[in-house]
Amino acid sequence: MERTNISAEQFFILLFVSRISAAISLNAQYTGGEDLLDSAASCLLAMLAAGALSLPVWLALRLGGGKSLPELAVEGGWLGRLVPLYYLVFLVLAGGSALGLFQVFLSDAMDPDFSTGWVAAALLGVALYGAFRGLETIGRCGVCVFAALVLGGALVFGMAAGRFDPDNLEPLFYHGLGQTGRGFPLFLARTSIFAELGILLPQVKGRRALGFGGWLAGTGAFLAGLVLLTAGCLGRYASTQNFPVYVLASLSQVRSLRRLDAVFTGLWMMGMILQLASGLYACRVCLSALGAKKKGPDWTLWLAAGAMLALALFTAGSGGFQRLMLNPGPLAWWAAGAAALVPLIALAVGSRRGRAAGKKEKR
Amino acid sequence: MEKLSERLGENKRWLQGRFENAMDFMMREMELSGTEAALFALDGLVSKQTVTLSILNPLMEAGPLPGRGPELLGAIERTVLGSVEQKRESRMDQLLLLLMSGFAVLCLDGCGEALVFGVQGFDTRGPDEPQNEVMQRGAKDGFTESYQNNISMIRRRMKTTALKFEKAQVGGQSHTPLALCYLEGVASPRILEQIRERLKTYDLDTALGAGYLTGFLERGGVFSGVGVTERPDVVCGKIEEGRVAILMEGTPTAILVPFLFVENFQTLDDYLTRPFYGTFIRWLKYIAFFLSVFLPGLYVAIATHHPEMLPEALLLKIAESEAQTPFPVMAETLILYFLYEVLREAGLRAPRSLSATVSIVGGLVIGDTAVSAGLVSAPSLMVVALTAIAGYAVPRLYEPLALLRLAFLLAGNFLGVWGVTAGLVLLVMDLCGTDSFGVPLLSAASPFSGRLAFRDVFVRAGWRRLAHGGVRVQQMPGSREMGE
Repeated sequence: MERTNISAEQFFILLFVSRISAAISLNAQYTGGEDLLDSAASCLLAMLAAGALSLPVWLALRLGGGKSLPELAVEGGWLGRLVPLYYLVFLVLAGGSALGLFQVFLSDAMDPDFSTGWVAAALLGVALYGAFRGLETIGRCGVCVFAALVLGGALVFGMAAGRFDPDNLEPLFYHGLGQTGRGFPLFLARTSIFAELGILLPQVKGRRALGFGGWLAGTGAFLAGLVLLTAGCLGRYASTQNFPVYVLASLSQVRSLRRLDAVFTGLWMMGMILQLASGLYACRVCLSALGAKKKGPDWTLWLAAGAMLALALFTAGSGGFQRLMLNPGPLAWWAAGAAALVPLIALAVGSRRGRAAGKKEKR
Repeated sequence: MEKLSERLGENKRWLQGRFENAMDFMMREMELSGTEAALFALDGLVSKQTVTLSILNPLMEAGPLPGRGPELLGAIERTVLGSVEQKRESRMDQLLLLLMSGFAVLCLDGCGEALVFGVQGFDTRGPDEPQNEVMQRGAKDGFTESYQNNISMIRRRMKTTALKFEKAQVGGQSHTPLALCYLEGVASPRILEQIRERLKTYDLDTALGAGYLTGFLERGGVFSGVGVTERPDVVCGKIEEGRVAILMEGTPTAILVPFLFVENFQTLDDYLTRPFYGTFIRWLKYIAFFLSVFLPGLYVAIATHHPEMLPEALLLKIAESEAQTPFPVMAETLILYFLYEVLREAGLRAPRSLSATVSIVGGLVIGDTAVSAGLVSAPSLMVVALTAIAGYAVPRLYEPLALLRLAFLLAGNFLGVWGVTAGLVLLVMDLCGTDSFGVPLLSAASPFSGRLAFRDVFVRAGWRRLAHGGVRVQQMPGSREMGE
């Protein structure tokens, strides 16, 4: 794969922005229950789990000699080819479900007078452009969006903080651990970071481990803070809303400027475009590893984007598909597989082949 | 015929053949110490007075000179003629080029070399205040069409031997001379080499303006990585930061590379005022840029799809105005925008005597009558007018702005604020993905460097701070020479 390097700061900021966009799409249907505060514990647990689950990725990359996991795995023959395929499917599923959720949100909360499919197509179009320009472009754009996120988030949630009432907070685990258990897979599922680490980390230079630590801590803190704020501002009302964070944003106002939900939606969109762009770029890396080419042909990006769009449209259009795609359970398993299982396979088949090649050379 | 012949007759016939039907071709035949000679020049390009006083009179008044052919030429060169710009030349293509550049050529019978003299005498415009880069406190002289004059303007400001003017040439037919101006040891050799390489790709026959060349220097992107200026002081400031200026004959504009996005917002006046005011003006320009790009799109998006975002009082005002007009918001904004662009173009191209008429017609008929007749609403008119004025705060970006605001207008109409947001990210992505000769266009904002961003991007630091710890353009974060 043709390499363009980005710094660890850019990479983890990019992942942070992508992850946050998934966080602000928090859907009460899947977090469930009235004890929203318990979800804060879920997200902190999910972040700890993410740290632990990613260890195989780090190990495989360390032993992989600067190659991405798909590149390492395909050296091991047909079994190794399953690794980029797995990542590919996972990335398309993650992208498609994120886009589908956004469409559901648009139809549900905003009810625009045009098809939400056009918005999804436009977002994917922008993401596709970013993926064509490469990781360097996406990483730099991530920094700009991060700045917008900090400013916009401070405005929206800062204004909303005025409504915070500690009486709205239920004691943690008041109704047992059910809510925490339901929230845990949700926070784990709504990220493709494990796949992106395995695919893109070799293109990242600088203090990667520190960046990852910062990402875990920052994302965990932000998510927990957001859940706390939402629970404190909305109380039990949050559980009646499909998108409680959005409701929180729509209640914010700065003097005569009302309905700051537009800012919120904008931030969500920006983050999602970056999530889709980095996902598409990672798909290209997987496809180029499958084809043993330096750079995957352009049609690979079109193909991945088309698949994501189709999934999103089906998700938004069909209730059954929606339950399947937005249910955090299956995606969480995919994520866990991408984190713990796939790197080990890549390492096993890749190093076996490497040893075989080494022996052949000795002879 | 590649080399000059030793026979004067042959040379005369060859040159006359080349300049057949060219009434400005002049030939003065004479005899010097018994040897036939001829002086060639092009009327209008040489100063006849200089030719007469510096060449013809000394030759005629010279006594008998020793030898014939090359020996005679040597004697003339050493003892008779003493022009500052004087050299020997034997290649015919070079002689043609020199003739067309205002040189006089002296050929002798029996000699395969000619003496050429720089006796240019064409009229050039004196340095005026630049029309497109007006400064409040800066110098009032701007570049002219003569690149040699422009070189002297820079040299007068930079008295250092590190200042180099490297000669080059473009245009298959025009052979337009140009100079790469840079500070040796400051400019990046890699960037210089890239410029030379890109200039080699110039395959047009003529080069009639800086715009011809910029097309071959820039590489994609909505915003150009190539800047232009009409001011010698700006060139001096830029080359001191490691940039390269290209001065081209026939154009009063210097090309600057690499050129970063933030430079579109910087003017010399920023640095001639106190830092807090410079910073204030810088932010005014950033805001004006955002207004100019996004205001029409946001207005159409909000008025059409998300009226709930507006405060009630404003919403009622807009709704009231819109109720009295026959067109939807999008159509009237689009119509007004096109009318504005037509008026602008007409004002620009019309003879000066008619400009006032164009303004009156535009201001009164379009502005006043259209609103009072109920054809367009006052808020739409105000939005377009504000957009137009904001665009002039950043004149360097006018071209991309004119098209971007149209694109955002359409995006806002079809997809509401989501379309505008998607467009914004697309624009940022394009900016982030574009570089100018290996330097990211958005550096030092992204890739971010706090030290540099809070020095001359988000704020204009004071001179004491600017004087220390600055970096050259090739050392900006993310540039190819620095790595990410």
